[in-house]
Amino acid sequence: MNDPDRALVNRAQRGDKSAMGEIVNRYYEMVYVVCYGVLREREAARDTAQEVFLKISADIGKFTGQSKFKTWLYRVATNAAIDQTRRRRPSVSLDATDSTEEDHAPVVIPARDASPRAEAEKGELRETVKQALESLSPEHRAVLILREWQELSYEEIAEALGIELGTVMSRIFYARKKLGEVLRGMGIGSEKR
Amino acid sequence: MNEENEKIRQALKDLLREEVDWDELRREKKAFIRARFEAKPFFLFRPAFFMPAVSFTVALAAFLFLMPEAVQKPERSPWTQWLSPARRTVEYPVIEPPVPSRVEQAAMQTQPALPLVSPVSVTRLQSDVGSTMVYQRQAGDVPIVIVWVFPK
Repeated sequence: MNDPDRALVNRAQRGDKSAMGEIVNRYYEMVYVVCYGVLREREAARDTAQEVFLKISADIGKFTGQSKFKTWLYRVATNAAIDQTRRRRPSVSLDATDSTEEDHAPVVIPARDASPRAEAEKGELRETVKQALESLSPEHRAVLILREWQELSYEEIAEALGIELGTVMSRIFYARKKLGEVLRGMGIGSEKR
Repeated sequence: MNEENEKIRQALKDLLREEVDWDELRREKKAFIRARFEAKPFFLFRPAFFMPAVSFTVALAAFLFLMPEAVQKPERSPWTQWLSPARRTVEYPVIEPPVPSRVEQAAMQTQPALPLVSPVSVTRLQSDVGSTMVYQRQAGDVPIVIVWVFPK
């Protein structure tokens, strides 16, 4: 497997502290964005991202190279962020969110009296998308961030999160559906499916 | 559907781009790396030890460099300006006997032999001009009178 981080990881596994610093320098923003996408709070995202790197540093010897280092990092970061949301509030059944009718209900969109075009102004759009994101479970937010921001393939997401490909597709479909409802509610996007 | 997905993707990217303070994030990253993953230098090279050591070394080197000057050129050295002239001249005298030229050597060889004097043992040497020693750079520059006092 051609892993561009392999040499760096080997050095870190031999106890080279500067190599670990280089890994942090290379992936800090990526890990932060994944954490922020899931947690939606800056301080929590920063703390979790730093915890991820400390964990990676401690467990670097356990990395066997069966997957790419970046994929392993995605998995640790996503799991850490999801765990953090669970610690902060009561857990929500992921299966339930995938299957119940309640979750397929449209996202509540604030009433707007301006024209759709005016509402589509960037600031408002971001605010609405933000609200829609918060209506998703951490697991759905995680796959959406990995797919849309990090531009990972479905297979890479499945490998990174250690879940089935079908689950990835289902979660992305559901997350997009909810966000699509938001956008359509604002008069943005195609009306036809 | 594709258009909608594209809008969702764009909205998400805009959201993250706007919400994340990238400059602050970079600062946090540097501070984190410095605190946790920067290899600390060997303790002797840490500033608390290193700077005094460097200062001491520089001072020692300067002292060693200037010390021979103070010895050989007492009248010019700032290290001995405060000393009395007598004290300055008695320290570490350097006396270099003039090397005779070939002509002088030849003349010396042609001179008649001096009367043979039985060898004496000098146990004490005294100068009536005090402890001052004179350095004579060239033979004949300054006549020097030396009184040898032989013990009885």
